[in-house]
Amino acid sequence: MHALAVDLRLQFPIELHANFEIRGFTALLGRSGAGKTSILKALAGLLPATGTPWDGLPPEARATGYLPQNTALFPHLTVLENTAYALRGPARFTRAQTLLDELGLADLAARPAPSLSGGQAQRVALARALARGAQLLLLDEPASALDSATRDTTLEWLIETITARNIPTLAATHDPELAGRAAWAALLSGGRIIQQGTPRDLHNTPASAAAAQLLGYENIWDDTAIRAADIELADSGLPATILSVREHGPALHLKCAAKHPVTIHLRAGNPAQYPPGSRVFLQFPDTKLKKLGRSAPQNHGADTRD
Amino acid sequence: MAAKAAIHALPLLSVLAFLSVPLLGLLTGGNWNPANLDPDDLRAILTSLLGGAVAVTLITLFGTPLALYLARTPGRLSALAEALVLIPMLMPTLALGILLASCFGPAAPAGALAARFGLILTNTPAAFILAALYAALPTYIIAARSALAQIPREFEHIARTLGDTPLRVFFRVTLPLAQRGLAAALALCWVRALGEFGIVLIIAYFPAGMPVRLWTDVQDLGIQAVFPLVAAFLVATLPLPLWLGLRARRFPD
Repeated sequence: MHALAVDLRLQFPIELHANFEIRGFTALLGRSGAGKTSILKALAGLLPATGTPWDGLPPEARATGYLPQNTALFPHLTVLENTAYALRGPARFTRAQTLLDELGLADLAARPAPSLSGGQAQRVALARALARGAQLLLLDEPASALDSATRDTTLEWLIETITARNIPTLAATHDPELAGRAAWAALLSGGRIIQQGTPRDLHNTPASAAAAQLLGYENIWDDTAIRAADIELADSGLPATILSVREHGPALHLKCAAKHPVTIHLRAGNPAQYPPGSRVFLQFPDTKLKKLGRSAPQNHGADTRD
Repeated sequence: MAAKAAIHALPLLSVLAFLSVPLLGLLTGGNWNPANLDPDDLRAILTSLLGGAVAVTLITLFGTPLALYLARTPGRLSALAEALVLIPMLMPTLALGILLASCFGPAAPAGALAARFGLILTNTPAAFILAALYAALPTYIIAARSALAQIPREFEHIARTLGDTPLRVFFRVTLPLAQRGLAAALALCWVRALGEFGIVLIIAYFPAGMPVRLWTDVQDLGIQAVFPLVAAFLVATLPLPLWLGLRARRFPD
C-alpha cells in the first residue's frame, strides 16, 4: 500500500503543523488536547486548514469516512438507513443490506441506531463510511466508547476489516497499546509531528523525551528512558530506596528514589517484601535502556527520522 | 411520611388549582349552542384561520433560516440579530401596534410605498396578516432557535462527510432531529398569531378576527352570549399546541 502524504497547517482551534504519512492503518498518537481531533476534522474538511491532501475542498467533495468518538449514528434512522445514508438511487437499501451481510452485521439492520451498544455502533459507523466509498478513514479514539469486555474484539474487528479492504486509515488515540497494533504511527506533540515510523521502531528508538512519554515509557531521565517493566531488582546495581508499593492484581508497582525517581513494575511479588524505606539494587538491561535524541543536550545517535 | 409528602405537595397543588380556574369558567353554564353563532362570528372564525394560516406559512419559510443562523453562529453580529428579534417580542403589543400604524398607515412612508403597489396595510386582510406576523414571527424564531441549538453539530458534520451539501443536511438530518421542537415552536406561534389583540386592534380592526369580534360581542351582548365563539376560539388554538408542546418535553439525562 502506498503512503498518503499529509502536510496540513491549522490556525484554529489550535495552531499546528502536521507533516506525516498515512500507511495502511496508521495511529496518530498524542495526549488529549494535543490537536488529534482537529487534524482528523481538518482532513475531513470540517475545520479550515491549508495543505495536502484536498486543500480547501468542502467535506462532501472528499472521499473520507469520519468516525467521531461517539460514532454519531443518526438517531432518527435504523442501522440499515444509516448504512444507506450516502447511497443514492432505488437500490440503495439493497446495497446497504449486502454490505451489512458482508460485515456480519445483518442482524442489526432493522434496529434503531440508539439501541446499539458501543461496539455495535462502532461497526455500523464503519459500514456507513465504507458504503460511502471512503478512500481515507478517520477514526477518533475508536476505543473510547467501548467497555473493557468488548474493547479488544471490536478493535481487532475494525483493524482487520479495514486492513482487508486496503483503505488508508488514520486513528487518533492517546493509548500506546492501541497505537502498537497499527502498521504505522505518528506522534503529535507541541503542535507538530515529532516522530513517525512503525510502532516497533518507535518503541525501540523513541527520538525524544516527549516521544518516549507518548509511547508509555514510565521512566524518562534527561537523555535516557526505560519502561517500568524492564527494570530488574538484583543483588547489586544502582542503590535505591523504596518510597511506596501498590498492588495491581498479582503485579506490584514500586516507586523508588535513586538519583531520579524510578517506577518499577514487577510481574509478581509479595508487597511485604518491599517495605517503604528499605533499600534495593536496580539493574537496567542495556538493550532496554533507550538513549533519547533531540531533547537531550548530547545526542547519542538515536534514530531521529522526523 | 404520607403527611409530610402532602405538606410538600401542597404548594404545587395550589399552583395547579389556581391555573385550572379558567377551566371552571367553561362549566359556568354559558350558552353553548353553536346555532347562536351569527354570520359575522363565522366570518371572524374564517378570517382568523385563513389569516393565521398564511402568517404561519410565511413565518416558517422566512423564520427558520434566521433561527438556524442564530442557533449556529456565536459572536456579536448574531447577538445583535437576536436583539432585533427580541425587541418586537418584548414590546407591549399595543405599543407595537401604534408604532406599526405610524409606519404602515396610509400617510406613513412604508404604508404609502405599499399603497403605490395597491397594498393597503391598515384595516385590510393584508393588515391582519401583517399584525399576525409581528405578533408571532419573533416568538417562532426564538423557540425554533432553541430547538435547533439542541441538535449536536456532529450529526450535521458527519452528514457532510457522507456527501451531502449543507442544504441536503438540513432536510435529512437537522429538520428530522429538531422536528418536535420545531413543531412546538410552530404551535406556539399559531397561538400568538390567532390570539393577538393589541396589534390587531390598532392596524386591523377590520376585517375582525376572533379576538376583535369577541371584544365587540362582549360589549354589545355580554359575557354569556359569546360562549360559542369562545369555544370556537379555544378549539382553534388549544388542543394541537397542547399536544405538540407535551410531545416536545425533554429531560436532561
